Amino acid sequence: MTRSNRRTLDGKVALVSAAGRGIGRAIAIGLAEAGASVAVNSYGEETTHGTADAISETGSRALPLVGDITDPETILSAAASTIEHFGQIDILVNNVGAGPKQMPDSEPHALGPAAALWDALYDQNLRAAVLLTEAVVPAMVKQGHGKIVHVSSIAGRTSLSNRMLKFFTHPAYGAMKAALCHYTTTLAETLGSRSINVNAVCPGIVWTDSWEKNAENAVATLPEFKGQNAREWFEGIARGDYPEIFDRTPLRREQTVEDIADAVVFLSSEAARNITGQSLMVDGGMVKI
Amino acid sequence: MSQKALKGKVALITGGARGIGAGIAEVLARSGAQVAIGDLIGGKHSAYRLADHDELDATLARLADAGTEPFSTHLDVANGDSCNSAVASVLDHFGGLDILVNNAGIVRSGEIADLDERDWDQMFAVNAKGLFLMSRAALPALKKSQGAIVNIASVAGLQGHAGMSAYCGSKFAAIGITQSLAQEFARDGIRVNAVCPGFLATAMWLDHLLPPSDDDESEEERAARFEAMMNKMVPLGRPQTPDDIGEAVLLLATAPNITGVSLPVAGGAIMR
Repeated sequence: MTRSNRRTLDGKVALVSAAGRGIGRAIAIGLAEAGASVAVNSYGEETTHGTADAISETGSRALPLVGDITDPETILSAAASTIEHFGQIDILVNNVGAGPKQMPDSEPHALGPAAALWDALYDQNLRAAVLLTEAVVPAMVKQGHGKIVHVSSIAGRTSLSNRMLKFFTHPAYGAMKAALCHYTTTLAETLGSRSINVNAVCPGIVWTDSWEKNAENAVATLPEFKGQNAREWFEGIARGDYPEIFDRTPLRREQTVEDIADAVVFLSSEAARNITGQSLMVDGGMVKI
Repeated sequence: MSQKALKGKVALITGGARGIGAGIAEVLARSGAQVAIGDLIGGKHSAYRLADHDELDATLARLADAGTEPFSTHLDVANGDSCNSAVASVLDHFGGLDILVNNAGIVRSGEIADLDERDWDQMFAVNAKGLFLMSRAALPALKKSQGAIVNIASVAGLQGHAGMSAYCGSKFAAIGITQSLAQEFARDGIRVNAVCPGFLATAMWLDHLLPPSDDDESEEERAARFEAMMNKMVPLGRPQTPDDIGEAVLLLATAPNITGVSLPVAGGAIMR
């Protein structure tokens, strides 16, 4: 590697969870474009292969790993398959997150629904990342190097408005993402002496499946937005049209999945060899930290 | 990102004659930028030696090796007229300015009881007021280019330390200025971020901050002692390099949706 080429990922192997769509897909493709071979995990058969095919088109190698990455068996086999197939694992991106697709079953008592929802958000946003990390770290320790990047959220770095919490983002989501940022620091401390860097990226509000759904709900159910086009309503967030719900975005433009991918690629590269334990905001300046 | 991400862009690095500033200049030059160095050559400081002509010439030679035609100008960031004329000379030479890297900084340690008032004022003049004067001088050009400012703060801008009140105070100020200007300049499409370097084997550390040794030390011995100290102090166990800081500057200078952040490049010495 030449000195001027510290951003290349040539010869590196990455595993990205929840990489079938949205931010995860952009990260997987971004890593591949930088030269990495990428193991692509996602829940759905079609989405997993879709990302893997897109990676093959960049000239990098891809390994599709279909499965629910919150399930310990899938977690163990994803780590094992990546190492078996590529012979090493240099980069782990814990991208899995967001909320459950439907309300989880709950116990028949007054706290049942709350407990079920908190458990589900814990499973998806924190536990899955922790367990996949546990599954991968022994190989990184053995290699003597590694880069781990967690995809957290602005919701883990700041309190949100009452209306935002009521309509869009469950408090448990922010709590789990805050925990993920904290886990980033403790993991960085414990793995530092092994030359393993651990960082997080905190995306702002990005047009993904989740926000498409949120926008559709907003224009369907909130009286002041009723009847608007969902996508046009979403664009108003970055413009600062709804200050009673969303903090102002100083740069007044929405963040893209590629913006997030660029930050992850940087933190996965030797250009960031001396950065560890950080949570990098990619949010147009929305969170002041 | 392509290797020539900054092709056609002009960057001005204050305090770029040596050390971190020179490392930043090299990374930006390798990424295709046209690089201008502003530095107070032969300046006076009570605690250690500042950059001289030989160091500047060596840096300019390395930048030329990187395939650029570097430009240098005299600059005292604590003086408003000097900031204005340095920016004007860069605009005159290159025709524009896209990236301002406010790297010039000085350090002086000492407990408050022993700290000289002039040293305190000088540190705030360079490390804090310098950001105001340079940002103001560069603002019209950066508006035109929809450019970016990257301030070189410090981990000392995120955490206080005994015997470092003046330096930490001035670097906390740098981060406050960064956050404020990020919001103020966003409407003009200008992004403002900071990098917080940790521990580098630069003159600031080797000549001043490293605790003195009893023995008569060679430069190599001192550098080795610094490395050994970093091995204990920093989770990743190694000092940071000017190149590391340059790579972080390159990220923040080019990321379209990052503004107002202070990114530590410190081997994990501070985590946030």
